[in-house]
Amino acid sequence: MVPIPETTVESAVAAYVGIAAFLLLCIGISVYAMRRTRSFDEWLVGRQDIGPIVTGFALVATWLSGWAIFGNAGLTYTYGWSGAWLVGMTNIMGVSLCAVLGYRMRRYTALGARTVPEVLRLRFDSPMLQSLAAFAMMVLLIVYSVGQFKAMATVWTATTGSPWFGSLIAVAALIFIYMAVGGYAGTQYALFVQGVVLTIVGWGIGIAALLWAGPENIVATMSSEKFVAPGGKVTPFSLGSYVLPISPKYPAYDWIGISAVLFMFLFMATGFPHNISRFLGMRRITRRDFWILMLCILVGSTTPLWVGVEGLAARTFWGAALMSKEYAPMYGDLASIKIAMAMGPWVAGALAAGVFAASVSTLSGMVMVMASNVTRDMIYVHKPDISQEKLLWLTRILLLPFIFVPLYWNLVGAPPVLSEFMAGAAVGQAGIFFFVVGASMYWKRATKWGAMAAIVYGLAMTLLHPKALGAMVGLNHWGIWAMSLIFGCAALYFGVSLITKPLPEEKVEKLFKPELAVAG
Amino acid sequence: MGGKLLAAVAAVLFAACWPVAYYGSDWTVYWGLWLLSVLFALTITYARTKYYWEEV
Repeated sequence: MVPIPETTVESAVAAYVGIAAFLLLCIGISVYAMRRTRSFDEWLVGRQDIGPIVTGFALVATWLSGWAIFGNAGLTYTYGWSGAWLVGMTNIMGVSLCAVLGYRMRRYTALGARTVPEVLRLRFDSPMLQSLAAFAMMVLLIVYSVGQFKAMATVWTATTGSPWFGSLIAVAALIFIYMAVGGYAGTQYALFVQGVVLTIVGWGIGIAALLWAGPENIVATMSSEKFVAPGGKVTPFSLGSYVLPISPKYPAYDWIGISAVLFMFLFMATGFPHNISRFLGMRRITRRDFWILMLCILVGSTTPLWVGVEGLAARTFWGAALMSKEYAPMYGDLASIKIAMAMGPWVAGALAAGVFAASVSTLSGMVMVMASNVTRDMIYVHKPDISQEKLLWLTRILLLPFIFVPLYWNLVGAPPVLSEFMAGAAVGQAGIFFFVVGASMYWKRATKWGAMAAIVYGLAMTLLHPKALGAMVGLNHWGIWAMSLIFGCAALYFGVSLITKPLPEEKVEKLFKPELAVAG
Repeated sequence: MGGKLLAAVAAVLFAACWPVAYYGSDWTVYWGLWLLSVLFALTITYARTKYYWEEV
C-alpha cells in the first residue's frame, strides 16, 4: 500500500525551483523577442520565419493545456475507463487535421491577415463577420481560460501547501509580463519550450506510473471500484466500463455522448483560434518539413494518454480517498501531482513546471487572441487610421482584463472536475470555428451569412449547456446538447451558405489559386 | 484519385473508433483508439504532401 504523500519542505522547494527555472527561461525568451519586435504587425505575428519544429511544439503547447497535463489524471481517477473519452484517446485525429487544414493560414498572412477573425474578413470581405467572430472567440476563450488557472493553483497548493489563490495572482502577473513584452514571437518560442517540457514530463511520469502500478493491477482495480462523487458519496456504478451512466449530464453516460466526444475531438483542435493561429507566423516549408511538424505533433499529442494513465495508477494506489471533502475543491484533479510527489520531490517539481508550462502556454495564447480581437478586429477594422503605436499599447493594456476575469471566476467558484468543465467551452469552439474558419479556407461556396448563422447558433447553444441554462429548456443530456451544437452549426453553415449569394468569382479566386496546388 | 482514396481511408479509420470501443475493453480500447488516431494522422499527412501540396 502506497500512502498518499503530504506536502513537505522538499516538495515545496522542488516546486519553487522547477517553476522558477521555467519562468525565467520563458521571460528571457520574451525579452529577447521584444528586442526584435519593430511594429504592431510583428508583435502580432512575428516575422513569419518560424520553422516546423517550433511551430509543431508550439501547437502541442496551445493544444495541450492544463486539461491534458493535469486534468486528464483527474478524469480517469474520478470516472475510471469512461473518463478516458475526455482524456482524448483520439485527440491526435483532431490536431493532425488542424495541421493539415491550418497550413493554408499562411496564404492569408501574405494577404495581410494578422488574426484569425481577420482571415475571415479577407475570406468573406466582411468587417461585420470579423467583429462577430472576435466577440464569439472572446466569450468562449474566457470560459476555457478558467481551467488553466485551476490547474496551476492546484499544483501550487499541493506542492507548497500555500493558499491557492496566492499562486493564481502570481501566475496572472507572469502572463501579463511576458505577453506584454514578447508578443507573438515571444509567445511562439516560449510555447515551443513549454511544449517540449510538458511532453517530457507527461511521458516520463505516465510511463513510470504504469510500470509502478502494473497494467494488470489497474484493470483489476477499475473492475472493482465504484464511482464516488466529489465529497465522498459512494454510488453503485462500476468504473470498469467505458460507459458510465451516472447522469445524462456526463459525456460518457451513453453512446450518444461518446459519439459527441469523438466528433468534438475531431473538430475542436481546428476550431481553437489559439491553435490555428500558430500557422500565422510560420515560414514557407517543404514537404519534408511538414512531416517533421507532424512527427512533433504525434509525440506531443500522445502526452494526454500518459497523463490519463497517472489517474488510473492513483486510483489503484489510493482508491477513492481523494474524492473526500478533505481534498475539496481539488478532489481527483490532485491525482497527477500526488503520483509525482509519491515518486519523489524532484519529480513533483518537474510536474509543477510541466503544468505551469501547459497552462501558461495555452492561457497566454488565448489572452493574446482575446486582446488582439478587440484592438485589431473591433477597433482597427472600423478605425483604420489609428496609429500602430496606440494599437500596440492598447492591446497590452487589454491583457489585464482578459487575465483578471478567469482569475476572478476561480476565486469565486472553481469547477470541481477540470477537464469536464473545459469540455463545455471546447464543444462551442469545435462546432463554430471548425466550419467557419477551417472549412471556409477550402470551400469556395461558403458565404458570410452561413458563417454568421453558425456563430450565432453556436454561441446560443453554448449557453444552453446542461450545467448552465440547458435545464431551463429541458436540455439535460450532454451528448444530445453537444451533437445539436456541432451538427446544428454544420447544417446552418452549409445550408445558409447554399441559399445566399457568395462573393464574386474574381474575389474568391485570389484565395483559391489552383496553380498553387501541385501534384506530387 | 489517390488523394480521394486516402481521404476515404481516413474516414474509415475514424469510423472504426466505434466498433473498437464497443467490442474492446480496458487497455485495448485505450491504446487501440490511439493507434487508429496515429494511422489517421499519417494517412492525411501523406495525402496532403503527396496529392494536395501547396507552396503557400
